[in-house]
Amino acid sequence: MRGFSLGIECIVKGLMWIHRKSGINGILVIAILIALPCSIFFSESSSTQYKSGKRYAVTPVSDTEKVAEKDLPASIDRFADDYYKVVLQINNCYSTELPHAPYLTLDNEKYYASFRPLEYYCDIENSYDVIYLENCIPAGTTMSIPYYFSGYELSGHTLSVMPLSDDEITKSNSFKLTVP
Amino acid sequence: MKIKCTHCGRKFDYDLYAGLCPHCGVYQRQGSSAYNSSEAQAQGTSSYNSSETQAQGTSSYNSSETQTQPQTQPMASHRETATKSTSGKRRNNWLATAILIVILGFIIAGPEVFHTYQTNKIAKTLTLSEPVTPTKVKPSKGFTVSTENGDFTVTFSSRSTDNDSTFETPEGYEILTVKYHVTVPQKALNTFPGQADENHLYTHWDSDRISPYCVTKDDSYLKPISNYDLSRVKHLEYSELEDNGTTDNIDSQDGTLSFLIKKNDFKGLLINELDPDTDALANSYLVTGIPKQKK
Repeated sequence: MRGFSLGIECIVKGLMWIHRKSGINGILVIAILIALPCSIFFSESSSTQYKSGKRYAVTPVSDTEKVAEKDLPASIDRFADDYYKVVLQINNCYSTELPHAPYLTLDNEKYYASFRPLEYYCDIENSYDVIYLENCIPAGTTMSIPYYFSGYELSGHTLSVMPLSDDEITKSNSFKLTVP
Repeated sequence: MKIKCTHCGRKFDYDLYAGLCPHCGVYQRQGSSAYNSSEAQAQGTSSYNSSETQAQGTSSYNSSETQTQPQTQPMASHRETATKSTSGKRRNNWLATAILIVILGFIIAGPEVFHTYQTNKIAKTLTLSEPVTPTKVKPSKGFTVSTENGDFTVTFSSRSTDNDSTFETPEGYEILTVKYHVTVPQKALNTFPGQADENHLYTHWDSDRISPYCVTKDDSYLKPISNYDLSRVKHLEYSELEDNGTTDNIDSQDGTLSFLIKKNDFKGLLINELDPDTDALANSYLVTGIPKQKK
């Protein structure tokens, strides 16, 4: 701790000495000398691919229908009184594959609903661990995936749904679901 | 400015020694005759009088009192010159400060702005206007991948169920393997003669450009079983997998792709090809009708 204080004191004294000798310009030159390698490091370490995000469009292609609990697939969570199913079409309009179907959430917090896509390996993903099970939506393809969702007091309401992703995709991919 | 000491007669730098003669130690005050005569010589004007009260113990100061009125003007002009040069210096300092602040702003904000620009540019290149309709190809005819060493042709010969029980497939699933063959162009063989004896493709064949997927009857897409899982389950090193052609991509002259799929659910293969320069989706092929391997 004493060393830390001494270090800070030395830095401050050094800055004050520079300010005495060459004014604010000296401080600015020191700041430039520190900022230059930091900005070079930042630009080299930032990955543009990661930041590019994924471009896909989600649209419902079927009506929302009520599902009895006994008819729900085994992989779907059972936590509410109401269960529904809707088929969503996902267009992957990008040159990289989507690693899974988009996660969905409601636009507002008035209701609560949990969405689950029924992907190919859903029935064994919790029980089979010999090899890694990977769903995907290849680049440039369209897939229709049934989504099951459950929630409380959703009947008769219109839900505003959006993918749980970065803002750019979220704003352009909101859609409405009318719950019977 | 060099002046002549009125006591010892030697010249010294007034500014450097702050008026104190380094030879005899006599102080030459500003406004003294020695100072004034040196100032006049430097500026080419008559010497001026300082009108200040005499300093104690310096005889050279007394002569300044007899100087006439016009000598106050050079002092005033000296003050004006000093003021002008001081304000000029201050203006230059402010200019330098402003320039340094601008440079610092560029250094801090520049990379982020450039990064955002690059990201948006790449995103625009990689974005497709609409979903791509793949080109349907026959397995025996396959498709061609152009490289700087010629055109590589990929064909598919058969499919079979992997009866290796090491995978412990779950109920209702099977391991499906699809055999493929890559024809290496003569230009590549001429450039890399060793390729003829090597199953693994290394002659400017960028397997990262090619992405194979299994298409099921309900149009789901499955990725091949990864090299990591193949190596772990089959107890083979990566080099052995490459020699056998049992990998998760099309990177051998003769190889297989393996998929975990529901029984009797195979429809075909989707092969996506990326542009090597931009990484944008260049071509998409749908291979259907791959025959079952005869026992």
